[in-house]
Amino acid sequence: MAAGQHNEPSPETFAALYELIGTFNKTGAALAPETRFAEDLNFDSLIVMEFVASVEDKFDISMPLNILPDILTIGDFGVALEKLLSER
Amino acid sequence: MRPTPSDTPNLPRRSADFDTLVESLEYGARGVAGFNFYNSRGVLTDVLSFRDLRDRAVAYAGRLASAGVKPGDRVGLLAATSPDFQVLFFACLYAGFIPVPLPLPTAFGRREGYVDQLRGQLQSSGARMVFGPTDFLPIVGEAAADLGLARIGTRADLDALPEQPGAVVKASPDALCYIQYSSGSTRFPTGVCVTNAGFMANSRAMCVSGVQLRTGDRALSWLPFFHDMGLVGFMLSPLTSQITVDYLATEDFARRPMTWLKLMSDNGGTVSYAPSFGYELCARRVSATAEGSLQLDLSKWRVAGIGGEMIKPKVMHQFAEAFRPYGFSDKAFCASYGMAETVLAISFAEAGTGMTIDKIDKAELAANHRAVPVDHDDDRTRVFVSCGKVIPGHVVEVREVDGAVLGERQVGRVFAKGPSIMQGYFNDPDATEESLSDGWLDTGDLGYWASGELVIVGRAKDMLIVNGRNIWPQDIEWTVERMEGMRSGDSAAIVLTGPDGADQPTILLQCRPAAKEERATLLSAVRARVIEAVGVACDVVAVPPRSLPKTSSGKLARNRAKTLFERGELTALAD
Repeated sequence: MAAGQHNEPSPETFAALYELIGTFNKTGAALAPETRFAEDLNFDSLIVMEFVASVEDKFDISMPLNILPDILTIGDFGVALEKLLSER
Repeated sequence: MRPTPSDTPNLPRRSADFDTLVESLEYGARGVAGFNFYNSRGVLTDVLSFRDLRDRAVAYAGRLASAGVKPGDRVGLLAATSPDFQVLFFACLYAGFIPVPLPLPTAFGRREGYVDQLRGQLQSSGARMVFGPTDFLPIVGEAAADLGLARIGTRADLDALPEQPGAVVKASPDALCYIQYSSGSTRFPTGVCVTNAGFMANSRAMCVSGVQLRTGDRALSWLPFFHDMGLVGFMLSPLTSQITVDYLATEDFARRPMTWLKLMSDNGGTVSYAPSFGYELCARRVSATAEGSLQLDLSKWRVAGIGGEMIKPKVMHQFAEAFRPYGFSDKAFCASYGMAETVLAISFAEAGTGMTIDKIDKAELAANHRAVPVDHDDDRTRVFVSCGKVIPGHVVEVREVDGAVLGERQVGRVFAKGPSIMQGYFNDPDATEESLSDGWLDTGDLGYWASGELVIVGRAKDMLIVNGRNIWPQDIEWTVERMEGMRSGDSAAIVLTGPDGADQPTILLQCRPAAKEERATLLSAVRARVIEAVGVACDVVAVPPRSLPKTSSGKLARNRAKTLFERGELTALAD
């Protein structure tokens, strides 16, 4: 999903995501909106789900599985997360 | 809402002695057992008793007929862990339609790979319609573009349709029952044809002599319904023995693995299965808690099955140690071996005896293909878990390359024959001919006999298994080929054995750039692209241009490449 279609996620959202991602970031890659989960962070499907669970706990939401295939970067994730939060 | 009970009073237990799956549901519907669905926090969300399943399946058989499905038509079903999937699966069986369970996406950014996979299975099966949860329909639409499907919708979309009378037909035991796509590559999928008779033969063997299901048993599963272990092992087989099953969706297990064990504890589960990695995830989580601090009682867990990938004994020991304080007994571990081509299982360890470990000499195995037992356990040793005895009514042979049948502790290719072996792959005579000959299935695996039990050591075919997923090297190579500057035959995807005995998926990549930095960039780009498209983290090793061996017809000689690399005759370019 193109980031341009949605509002940029807030700095607070990014800060929270960076903190959660830090636990799983074994590559030491720098975290930025354009950092990619697969390419830059080497997230495999098990780590993805563990990370999703940590986000759900932190924000008390449930993330539907069907949004995952469209998410490539931390920015994409931030957009999807804020959308879910706004629909709550 | 209350979950269905474990016991079925006043209904004598029958163990998969039916002619058809529909007949087994008709019988189960006379009792009180059924299927229960829980969310990631372990809260009950849906209950589908066998009686409700029966009534709803009959109704939807009529509605599907009204929608235009004809007997023999294939119906794709996105296999979410939900009552809807089960209702439509059985609706198809009641009306003589052929259900085709389809996979769900599992990770970030793999849209393209998932669409390819769906499209491949839709094309191969020739599905006329697809049903699934609303959220996934757009992506199905994308996968099915120009395939001319008559309908893509949800179960609820069918509610408006009338129930066509006479839709329910009596199935013959030899009729094709469903098509299972857990084998075959993403690009070139092969669908296993399962008949009622084939299914029932396997189910009977598993229920009676494998798991030895008995009154009071209660199964629990988080395995996906698009996999044979989930579909056959924890939906269809328990039904044929009137056993209640509690479900946790696969993605919910992946999010919160401990919910699996919490539900086992809360509901008094006695039978549950997982690949090694499922046990590993839980052992990892519990190591972060103080010993004995969880509210868990796993003492009723009678059969903790392991399957779907090579069993890692060390991981299993860690799990047993971690959960011993909660009543878990390592005697519950039960290894088995099988594949969709055998419906599910072909050999089973004796339930209640734990794992039988076989330690053999690594050098003898590699050089002489012999499994010579040793006492020591160090880097000269390979440790395997016995997969038990062949199920009743079936025969397995371990054969030499020339077809000669091998004896005790000689390693060869595993062939299987018997009533549960598939009839073939759907609409794919070439793939069928490659796998079946005179009723013998070439499993593509390597193994040996140890005191009458089958031990599997690896794969003769090229398949990779990562976290229980089967991955075909062709899919990895195809992904690499499509990258800029790459050509067909530039890569070989193989599995090497790491120092700890674990599989390490590896890509040998023919590299043209001479500059080291440029090469390093290319290697990490290939690694990243393969993670994104196929979902496997591979070691990528640069080898010189034109160094990968080819067959006489110019195709990549993958096994030869692997052998050359292992022998050091094909060497990596220096970093």
